[in-house]
Amino acid sequence: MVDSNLEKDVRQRTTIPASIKEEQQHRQTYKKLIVSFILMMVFTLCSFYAVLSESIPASFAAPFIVALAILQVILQLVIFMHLDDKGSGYQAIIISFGLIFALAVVACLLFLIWW
Amino acid sequence: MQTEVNPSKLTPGHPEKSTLEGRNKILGVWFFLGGECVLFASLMGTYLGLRGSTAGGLSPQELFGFELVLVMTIILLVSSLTSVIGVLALQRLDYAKMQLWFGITVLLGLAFLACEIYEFVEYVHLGLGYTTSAFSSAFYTMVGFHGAHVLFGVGWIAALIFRATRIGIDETNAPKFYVASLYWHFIDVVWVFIFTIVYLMGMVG
Amino acid sequence: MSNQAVQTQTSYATSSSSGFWSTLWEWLTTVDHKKIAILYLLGGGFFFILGGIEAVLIRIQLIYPEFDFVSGSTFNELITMHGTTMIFLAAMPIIIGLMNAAVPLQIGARDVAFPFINALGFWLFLFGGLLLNLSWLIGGAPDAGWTAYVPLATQAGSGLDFYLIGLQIAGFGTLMGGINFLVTIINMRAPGMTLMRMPFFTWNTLITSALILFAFPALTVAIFLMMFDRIFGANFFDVSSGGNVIIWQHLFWIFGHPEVYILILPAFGILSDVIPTFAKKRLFGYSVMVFATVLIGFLGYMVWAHHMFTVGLGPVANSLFAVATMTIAVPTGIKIFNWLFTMWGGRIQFTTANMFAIAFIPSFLIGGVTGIMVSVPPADYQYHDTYFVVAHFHYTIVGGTVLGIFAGLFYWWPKMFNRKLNETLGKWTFWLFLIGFHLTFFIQHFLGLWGMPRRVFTYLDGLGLNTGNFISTIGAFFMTAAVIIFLVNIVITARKDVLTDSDPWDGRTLEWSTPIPTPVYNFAQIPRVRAKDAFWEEKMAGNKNLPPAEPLGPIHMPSPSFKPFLMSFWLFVSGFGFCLHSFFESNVIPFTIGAIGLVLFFATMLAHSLQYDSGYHIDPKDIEGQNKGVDA
Repeated sequence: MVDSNLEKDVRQRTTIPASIKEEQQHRQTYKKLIVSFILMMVFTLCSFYAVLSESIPASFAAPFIVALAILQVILQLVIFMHLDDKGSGYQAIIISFGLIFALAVVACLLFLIWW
Repeated sequence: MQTEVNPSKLTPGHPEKSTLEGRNKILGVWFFLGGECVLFASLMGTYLGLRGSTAGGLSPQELFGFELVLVMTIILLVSSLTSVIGVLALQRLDYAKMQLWFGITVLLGLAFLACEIYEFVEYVHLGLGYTTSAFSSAFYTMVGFHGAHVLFGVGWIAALIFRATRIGIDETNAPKFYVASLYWHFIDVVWVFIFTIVYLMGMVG
Repeated sequence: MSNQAVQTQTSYATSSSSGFWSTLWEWLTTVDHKKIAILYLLGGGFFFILGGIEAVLIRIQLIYPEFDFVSGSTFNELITMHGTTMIFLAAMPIIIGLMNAAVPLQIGARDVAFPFINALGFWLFLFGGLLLNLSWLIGGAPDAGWTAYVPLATQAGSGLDFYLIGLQIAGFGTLMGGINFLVTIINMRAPGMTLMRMPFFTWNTLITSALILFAFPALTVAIFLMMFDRIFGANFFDVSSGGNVIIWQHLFWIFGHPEVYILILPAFGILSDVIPTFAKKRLFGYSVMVFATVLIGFLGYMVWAHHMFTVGLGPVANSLFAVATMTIAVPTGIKIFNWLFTMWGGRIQFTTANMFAIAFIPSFLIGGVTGIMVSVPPADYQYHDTYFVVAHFHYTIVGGTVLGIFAGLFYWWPKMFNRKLNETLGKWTFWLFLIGFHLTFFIQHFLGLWGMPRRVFTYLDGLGLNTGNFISTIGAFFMTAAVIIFLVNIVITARKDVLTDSDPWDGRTLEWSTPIPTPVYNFAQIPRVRAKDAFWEEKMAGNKNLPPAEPLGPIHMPSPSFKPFLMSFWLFVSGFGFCLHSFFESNVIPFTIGAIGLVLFFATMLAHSLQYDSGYHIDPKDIEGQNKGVDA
């Protein structure tokens, strides 16, 4: 299917043929994915440990695991969902607004319902 | 009139962004996920508001065990990795690898669903029905909505794999796989909050 | 594959034949934003008349004290359906219709980003609206107010199920429309059309769509929670099992407050296009206007709890939300002044469109000022649930949105239907509507201050409310007459000849640069935009039209599809099934129908996704024969 809507399309389609440089880039991306996966795994295990361990008080564990969750989500968004790609500005804006509004909603439902 | 698809036109790199339709799709799904943030926030807020309202039924502390949740978390995290490796294969136009990794993603998604169904059945046996208390309604709805999203994602990716068996990777397929993978990562994002806030904080009390 | 293409090509060819069935089929399967705009207008117009009739019945019931024109329970159904219909099924769809008509043309695009989803959005709205109104015939309409506060709503009759599921389906459609416009505006602008060169209606559509995106999911959840309470026996709002009724209010208003900005921002956008066009001046303070719009959008999301001041959230929460609410007055005030400065020193033409736009400013201003009054929590304890509030939000929605919609309709009618609405009848509509509107609602401020509560079906004699209510009802008759004259105008206009001038208002923005009638592909060649108010600037530079940004080539078009209609129909069936749960002893039959509908919905979706159809192309040869538009 040829998209003749914009000449921009044609320009964007011309990519450099596969080369050694690209192979290197690919390996780098791969490494980045694996490293962030390992980090996420570590965060997850830390969260579980913080909750299950007797020696860590709940007053510390609760904010600690929330912080870990936020870190993990940032990794997921930026690395796995390619927010670090060029031209992802709008995506980053919209998801940030989504998260801000989400936070406002959760905060209100948490603190602003009386009994 | 030219409607024949010519896969040979595609070059490795970003096949998912090679057409305007593809770029529209990607942006559209990102926006959709932005809206989903509010959807899950509303559910999460409701759950947080009602988690103490057990009405004499079982409470989160009495209910949750960490083993199954850990297994489910790892399954979903790994499936997130497999789907992104699938996208990498897609970007290198490696058809076989792409199908393989997305296939594994679907299987992991099914495994996750099986765990969740097992978990829910178990809770019902323990005496926590959907209508037992406000907490139980909120819990099943929160986690169930996520489960329904997993189910939809499994169906979506499976349909794409089936579709690709007929035509391989082309300009229309590439963005579809890419956005399905975005959706799948987002499901994991939501789960990170669920296992942290619902399960782990529920165990702490 | 090529078979498919040939098929779609033939279906496109047959669609131009004029038989009734082929015309109907063409409209049922269309994915063209210009046709979908007309469908939205028809659907929204139908529900507007329905909601209007309900309003008139309400006003007749209140014309005299202790009048018994309708019963109290019918009155409750009428107020609920009037509010719900007007907001979800009339105002919003008409606005989305105008967006569909104008936005792709204004940004120089051939279509929206997702034509299929655009059509799906319309049919979901229509079927959702039909399901909601089906309740009049089956078991009675919802009667818990448009806000459906719990626990009243969880215990109300079967009408509430129609309310919930109908709005759910219509809401999905709106959400899809929102995402569609966001992507269209961001990704499909013509070369040179930078964000800061966009026509102002497009800017407001962008911000409105973002609000839709973030507001509607909260409604989706709220509705699901109440549906689960009513149908599956969940306990979200059942206090005896630990539920909490405030959650509904929060979720409803997290959606509900952005919703009022969803209604008013497009009207702001219409004004910002209409006023410069008829003042023959560029919009005063464009970049400040953009900033104000974005700010209103953001703040509009963060002030929902001002609907809940009297709930007792505490002084801190009330103060925060009060201050945030008052802040919105600043960007809104900026807008008002900028419109006035745009007109200042201009050669103002008093066309009907412009008269509606000008009347908008003072009318909406009154609504804004009373808005500041109710945003003060201690004072709100007095205003809350009185006719003062009724007057306030009718001043914003009727004095704002509806006047804006009328301005937009008179302005874009030539673009949509290739004919100009009759100006004389238009001015009759304008004056009758404006006078009627102020007669109806101005006195309601005082009725509220004199102590008349909202949502009462009658009042006693001797309370000093008689004259006020009588005046208010007379005003409603004026508005009715105005709308009837408008309908007559439409009929008369439809019989007139097609315009020959594609630019009847001497317009400023790109939509007036396309030939009349606008071809299905909008622009034979995508134009290159070189300035704000691009079309006007080219005309001032002595050019007839914008320069093309691409050579003439085959134009890719999406295939028409029946699946949007079908998918919406299956969701309607499913929703109807679930609505039946209170009519049967056991849940087997309702749930079976519900499940079948859902399965068929997803099956149709799957069939669409597996179908290999990449649309068709219009050959340059076919374009050459016609008026080329861009380089004419």
